[in-house]
Amino acid sequence: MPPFVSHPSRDVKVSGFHRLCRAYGRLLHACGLIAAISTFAMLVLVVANVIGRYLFNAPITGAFEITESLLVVVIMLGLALTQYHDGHIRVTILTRRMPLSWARLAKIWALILGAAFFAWCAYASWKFAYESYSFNEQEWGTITFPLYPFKFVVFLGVVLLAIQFVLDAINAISKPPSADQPAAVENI
Amino acid sequence: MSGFAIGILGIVFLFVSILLGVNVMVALGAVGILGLTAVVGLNAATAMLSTVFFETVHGFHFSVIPLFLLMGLFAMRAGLGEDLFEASIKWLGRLRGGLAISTTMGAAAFGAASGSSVGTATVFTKLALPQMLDRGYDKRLASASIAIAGTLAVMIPPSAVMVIYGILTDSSIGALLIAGVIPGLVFAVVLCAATYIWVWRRPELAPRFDESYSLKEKFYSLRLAGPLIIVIICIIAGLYLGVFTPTEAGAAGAAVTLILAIIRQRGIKGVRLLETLLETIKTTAMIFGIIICALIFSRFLALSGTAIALGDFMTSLHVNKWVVVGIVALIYLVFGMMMDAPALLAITLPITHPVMIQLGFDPIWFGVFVVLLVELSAITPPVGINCFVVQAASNGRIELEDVFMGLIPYVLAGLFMLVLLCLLPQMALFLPSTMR
Repeated sequence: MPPFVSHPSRDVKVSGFHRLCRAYGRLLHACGLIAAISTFAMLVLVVANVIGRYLFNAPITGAFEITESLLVVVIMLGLALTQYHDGHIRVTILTRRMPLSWARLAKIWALILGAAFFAWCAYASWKFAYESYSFNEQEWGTITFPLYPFKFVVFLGVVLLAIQFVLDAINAISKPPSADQPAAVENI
Repeated sequence: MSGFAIGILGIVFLFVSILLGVNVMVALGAVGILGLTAVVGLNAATAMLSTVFFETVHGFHFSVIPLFLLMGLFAMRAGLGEDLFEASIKWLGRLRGGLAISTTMGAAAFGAASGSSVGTATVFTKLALPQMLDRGYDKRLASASIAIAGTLAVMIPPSAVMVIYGILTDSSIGALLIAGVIPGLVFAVVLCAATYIWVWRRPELAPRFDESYSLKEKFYSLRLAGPLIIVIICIIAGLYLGVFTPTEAGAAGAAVTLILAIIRQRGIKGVRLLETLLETIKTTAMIFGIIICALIFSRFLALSGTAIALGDFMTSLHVNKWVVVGIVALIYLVFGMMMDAPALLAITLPITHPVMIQLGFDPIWFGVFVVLLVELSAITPPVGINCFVVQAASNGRIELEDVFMGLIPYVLAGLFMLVLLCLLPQMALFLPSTMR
């Protein structure tokens, strides 16, 4: 079992809702694994292509197109997992100094806004992907493969993220006010 | 309501939501899409929303970001920080303030590879701080020479922050990476000079380091650091000569650092490959979440005519364009206290970039300028992320005030560098202009 941070704290009595959250986290983790493997595949593919091109004068057919499509998987399947670990940047400079009840309201509002926004994105990307599927859109590069599965990956990514926001919002509503933890700072 | 009024309202809502703790990504996206709905209607806004995700994440050149991140994490697993520090002590340690100078240079080289100023600050606090304090270095000098090095890290390629600027402003990523090279090297010299002068005026801050090393020892110290430096030079040269694209440079760099990590850990197990990959995808998702939503917001500002109106307003003021540069710099230094580079670039560039272009600045030059500015804001008192990191990693051996006091000469050196960049824009533009 890989290192696994369960989002709702373990010492509260484990309710059905928390079990649901944890199961959902495992699903997101599985998606993360797919994204992680795709990242490594991308690394290998790009390097192999460079070596093939310069050393053997034989570039890999379709390396460019495959890398593009792999990036879709890498990013979209990681989005919700990052929210599960609270890894998306937010500013806590004000909310940390607010009275707890205000900070709680701000947090609930922020999470509902996130859920609503990504639900809208999900609706839009579903239409986009379905359209692509209905006329069987293809990638026309040095190799040809259908493009619509990757558009459905975009849809999947935003749906998973929207659901994670809903779960986080329910969790925040059901819990008593508590001090906000500063967001994960991931500087680059 | 006119488009301009909606645009200004949108900017206000954006900053209020971010301050209320809404994820930067959500704030940019939600305000952007609601604003677009107000300007072009619900159907056009939804249509825009349907394409922006796929168009942004389906791009060969943007895969450079996970690859750069991977290279940095592998460099960390390979323990290259230790090697670089050891090598720079052996080569530079005997200078006046030599340990501090070695730290800055070693951390800059490590940061160049890892692209992370916070990561670099953590690693070098653990490595260099005890060494300096044990040898009687002043706490302020010791801690500040570590905190400043992150600013160098993001200038010298490979730098993910430069790539983020490139994606957000649709500028050439290769040209941006190359543009950072000369300013990065000049800034390294400026920082070392700042340390040298500081110690020269107050020698009691940094006792002389007497150990001397033979040439053989000096070259032996380069056994693992050397390959890294060669990789960085190859990446820069390859980009400059057009031998490979930034994505290929990133992949090659990641592959070489992975091999170094396997050598150091005596096998693939110690590299913790899966953990490293998961860390990479989470940071990648965080960065692209912000980038995609910033693109929505920036399209809203463009379609509402706000970006152009703001530029017109700035030009109609008939103030010197350098006054505008000063105002922009001030905005970054203030907001840089609250968030880190990707978020800061994402919320400000849709506003500042069009204005600066309208005022006649080169987008590549502005990229180098802004990236330096963003990193300076990460160390400027009273709130600087890197300072907290150094203090937190020091095991209580230094106080936050030590770092802040120590940083004053370096912040001045940074401001000097900004002025230098304004006076000599060719410093950033020369290499890209001769690129193939």
